Amino acid sequence: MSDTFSLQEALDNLESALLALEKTLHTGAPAGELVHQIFRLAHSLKGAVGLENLGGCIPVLHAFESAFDHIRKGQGTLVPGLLDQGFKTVDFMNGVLSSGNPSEAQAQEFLAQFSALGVPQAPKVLDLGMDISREERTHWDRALAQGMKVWKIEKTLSAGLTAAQLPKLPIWATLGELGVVIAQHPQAHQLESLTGERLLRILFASTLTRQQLEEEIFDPFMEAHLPPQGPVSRDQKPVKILVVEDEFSTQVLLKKLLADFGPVEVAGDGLTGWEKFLEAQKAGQGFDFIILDMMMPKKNGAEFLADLRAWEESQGILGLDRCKIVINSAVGEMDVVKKAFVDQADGYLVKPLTQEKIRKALVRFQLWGQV
Amino acid sequence: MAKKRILILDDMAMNRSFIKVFFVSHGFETVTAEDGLVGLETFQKETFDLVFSDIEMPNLTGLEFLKAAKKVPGKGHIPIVMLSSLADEATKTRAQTLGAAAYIVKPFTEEKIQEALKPLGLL
Repeated sequence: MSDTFSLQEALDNLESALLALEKTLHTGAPAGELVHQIFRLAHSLKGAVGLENLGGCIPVLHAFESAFDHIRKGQGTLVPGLLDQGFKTVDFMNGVLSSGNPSEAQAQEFLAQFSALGVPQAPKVLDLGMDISREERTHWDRALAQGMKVWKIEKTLSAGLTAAQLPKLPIWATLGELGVVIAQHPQAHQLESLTGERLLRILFASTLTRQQLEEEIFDPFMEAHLPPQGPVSRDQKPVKILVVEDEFSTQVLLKKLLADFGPVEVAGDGLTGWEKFLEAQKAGQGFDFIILDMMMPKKNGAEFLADLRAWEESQGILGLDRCKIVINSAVGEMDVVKKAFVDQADGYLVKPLTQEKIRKALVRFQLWGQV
Repeated sequence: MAKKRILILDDMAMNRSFIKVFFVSHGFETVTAEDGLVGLETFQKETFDLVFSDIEMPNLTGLEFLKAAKKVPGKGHIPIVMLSSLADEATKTRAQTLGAAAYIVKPFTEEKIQEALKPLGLL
C-alpha cells in the first residue's frame, strides 16, 4: 500500500461511489458493496482530516459515516434524501479543502441536515445477503429447535487475504467456543472471484445471550431470521463440471466463474478430457456439465463430442440423461457451433464468458435451481 | 543499549506513517503491519516492548488482536495501546477488560500519545 494519501483523491473517489450508487437506484442493481465502499471512504477521510488539522469537519464526516454504517449493518435503509446529503457532504468537504476548517456554526448547521433526514428502521425480516443450502437450513432449524438463536456476523476482508489465510482467522476459533457455525460466504475457494469490497458473512448459532456474545465477538452482528416464505435457498447439489480447453487464460477464467456451482476439473486437450470423462464414469461420478472448446490439440472438440455421444448411446444413456455439453465459442465461430449442434452439443456460450451466462445455461438444463 | 521496539498495526498508511515518525524520533525501532492477521503473526515471532493497534481493521479487528496477543505465552505483559475513531464508552470498556494499556481516540496527536505512554514509562 502506498504511504501517500490524498484527501482530494479520496473525496473524488467518494463522489464517484455516490454517483455509482445513485445509478443503482434507477437500474435496481445490487448496491451492498457500494454502501460498504462509501462507508470505508468516509471512515478513511475522517481519520485523515484530523492529521491535516481539519478536525472541525470530523463531526460532519462522522454523521455521514454513521448513516452508511447503519445501512450496511441492516439497521437502516438508503433514502434518496440521504444520497443528496452525501453529495452535499462532498461539496462541503471540497469547501473545507480550499478554505480550511469550517466554523462551529457551519458544522452544526450541516449536522442538523443529517438529523432532519433520520435513518428509517430496517424491516423485521433481515436480508441475509447470502444463499443458504437445504442442508444449512436443516442445521438452522435444528439450532432453533435446541433453543439457540442464529446470528449473522459480518467481517470485512482485505483485498490481499488469500484462500489459505481465510480458515486461519481467529474468528473461527472464537465462534467454535461460543456455538456452531451454520453457513459462511464466501467459502475459501470463492474468495478470488469476489469483486469490490470483500465481506465475510457468517451464520452462527448459540445459546448465549447477545450481551455474552458481545464480550467475545468484536465484529458487527445481528440476529438473523428466515423470511416466512423461505429464503433464496435451493435444493441444490453441486454441479460436477469438466472444462476442456487448451488456452490457459480461458482455463483460469472458467475455474473462477464456475467455482460457485460445484467442483471443476480442467483438461488442456481433447484426449485428456476424454480420459477424465471415462475415469469419472467408471468411478460412478460422471460429469453433469462439460464446457468444450472446439479447436484443441490431440483430439479436437468435434471428435470429443462424437466419441462421447457414441459412448453414451452404447451405454443406453439417452435423451435428458445425457451429459450436458456446451461449446465455448467466439462470435465469429458460428459455423463451427452450428456443426457442433448437428453433432449433438446441447448449447453454446459466446465469449466474453460471464457467471450469469453460465448460470442461465445451468438453469436451462435444470442443473441449477431458479433464483 | 538496544533500541525499544514497537509494532504498529493500522490499515491506513497515513496513520502508520504518523505513528512511525513519532516513535522513530523518540529512538524506537518500528515494525508496521497493515493487517491484524499479519500483525499477530509478527507479534508472536518477534520481540516488542510496545504495540499500537487500530481497532477497526479488516480480517482481524484490533480487539481480536488484543485478545489473541494477551494469550501469547510470555508476552502478556507487553503493553498494547488501542487507537480508534470510536469514542463510545462500551468500546473503551471492552478494550480495558481485554487488557489494553491505554485507549487513544482519533484524531491522535503527539500530546495524546505522550499522555498515554507516560504511565507506562516508555518515553
